[in-house]
Amino acid sequence: MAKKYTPEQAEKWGWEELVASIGAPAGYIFISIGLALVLLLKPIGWVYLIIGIVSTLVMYFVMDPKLRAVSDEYERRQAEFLKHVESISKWEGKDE
Amino acid sequence: MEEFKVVFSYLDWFWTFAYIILMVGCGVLFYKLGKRSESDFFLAGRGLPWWLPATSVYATHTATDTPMWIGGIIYKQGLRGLWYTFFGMWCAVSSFVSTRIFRRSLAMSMAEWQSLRYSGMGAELLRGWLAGWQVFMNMFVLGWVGMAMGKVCHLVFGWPDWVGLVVFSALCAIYVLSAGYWGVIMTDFQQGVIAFLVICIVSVWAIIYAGGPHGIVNKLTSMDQAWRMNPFAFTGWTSGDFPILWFLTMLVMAVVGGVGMGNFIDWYPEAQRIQSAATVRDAAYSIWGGGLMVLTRNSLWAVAMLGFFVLNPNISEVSKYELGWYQMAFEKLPMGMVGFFFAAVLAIHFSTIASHLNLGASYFTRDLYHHYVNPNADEKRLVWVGRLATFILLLGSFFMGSLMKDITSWLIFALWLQAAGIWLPSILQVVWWRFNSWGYLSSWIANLGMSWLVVWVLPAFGILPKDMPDYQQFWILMVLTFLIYIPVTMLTKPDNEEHLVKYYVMTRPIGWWGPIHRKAVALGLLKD
Repeated sequence: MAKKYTPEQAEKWGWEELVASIGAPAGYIFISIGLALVLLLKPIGWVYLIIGIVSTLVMYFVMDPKLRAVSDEYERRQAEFLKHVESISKWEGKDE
Repeated sequence: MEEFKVVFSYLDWFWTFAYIILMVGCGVLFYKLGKRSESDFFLAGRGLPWWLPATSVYATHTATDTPMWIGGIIYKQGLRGLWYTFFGMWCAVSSFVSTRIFRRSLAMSMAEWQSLRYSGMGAELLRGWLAGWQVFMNMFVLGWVGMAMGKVCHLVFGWPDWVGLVVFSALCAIYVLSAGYWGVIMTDFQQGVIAFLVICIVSVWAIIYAGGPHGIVNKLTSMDQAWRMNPFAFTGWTSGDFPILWFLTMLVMAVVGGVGMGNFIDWYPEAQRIQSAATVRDAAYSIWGGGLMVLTRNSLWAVAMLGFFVLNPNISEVSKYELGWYQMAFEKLPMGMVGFFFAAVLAIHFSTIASHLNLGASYFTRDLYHHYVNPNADEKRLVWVGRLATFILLLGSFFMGSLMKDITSWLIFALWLQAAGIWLPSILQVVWWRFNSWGYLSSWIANLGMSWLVVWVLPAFGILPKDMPDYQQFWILMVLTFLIYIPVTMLTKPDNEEHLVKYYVMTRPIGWWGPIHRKAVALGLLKD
């Protein structure tokens, strides 16, 4: 079950960002090195590849619920702002 | 290794022309969307789902010179050369830290962000400086990528280098001029898919041609070159081609660097993609996904280059072996497929050229013309200035391209040294409220001077060794510039508090922002 965040909780930097900041680079490293070694049919390549995929999944499941909460709250406010900007800045159609 | 010319069949020419018509057609198709406003011309209206800017990140960083650069490193270093490309790991950390902060600022460019983060004269100077620097840098990148295309065309058709540079950059400019970033992003998506498919096909083809995985492994072993298959083949702590201290420097630089903004030259195109994403979440995954695709691609190239090495193990000239991947494709693919491969090379080339034409034009238009010259310009005029700037960048890139000879050394110089002295300040500006515009400005000035000093002047006078490794130069530059920008920061006033509170509430940055947070709470702008 994905954790639910209130907008206030989601705004704060916490352990989720730390996990993502370790899991994401680890995923990058192990997936790319693993892939190269798998293409050379090296068994250790599969081990690296699996570690990379697991790191990436951990990063996703930890970070995504928080990211959604940050995003939803922020986009609600941003949409109002951009609607206002659009209404005063478009030139097309003004002289038609 | 002999020079060769490729003979194109009618089918090969068909692929080439069909692809060019498809890309230029995109410019016509999205012309109406691109001309609506400055935001459309440079950010596609800020409404893109994550996979579009992600593919664009991938396509932009798959340039004509990339297989040469990576191919050259892998030929020389084997699989441990992959670590040179892991500078891209900053994307993994940035996705969840600096991307989130930058996206929330709504700055159209990194230069604009300077005037949101900092205040007063220092902020204006920084914005002007960064905008000018980015116009120049994009012209520089366009020149070196264009020249790489010139080299490829010389290899394939025997044309002089300038022909490939001028003809294909000019063709690409047609859709950038007409549709702006809409044209860039939509063609980048097609180009990214085409390039990824072709890189897979050609690399697998090259591996098979070289004897298959078993053949490559057996040949490398019999040549006493098995270390080339080991990504962790270190040569000691400080000695040899792959010392552990270089490796650790790269890890720290890439991973911690993801917290900062502007500490890698790749940050600037990424910043444009971050702001074009529809939401903060889309922005995060666009950078993460683009980075992953780039690194996965490098693995395919790396193994294909090992195949090239076992077939051509004794090439000593860099300019010959860095063309290895291209040569494998043009020589070994069957007739009819060569044109398809060349169309993919055009895809690789167009995606990078288009991105940098539009990016450089955005700094010229938004941060120089709109901000300093004509703040009251209407949207129609701004779009036209964007087009004019695109054209000027195109012409400038021809001049820049004519100045470049050795792609690999230019790229490594740019990656290591242009960012060395500003690497830490670029992080400090994100995480520390007290770091001010004068501190950041002084780090840029100090870095430019110190780079020349550390790389050329001090070695010339025998004060530093002439063959000092680049990672040691990095640490020296970091310390020397630190001794300048920290005193400058502490001896000048902090940025305006009201301005900092506004920035803080909007972006909610990570790090040491205690006094500003408390002020925002006291003003009722945030809950504690």
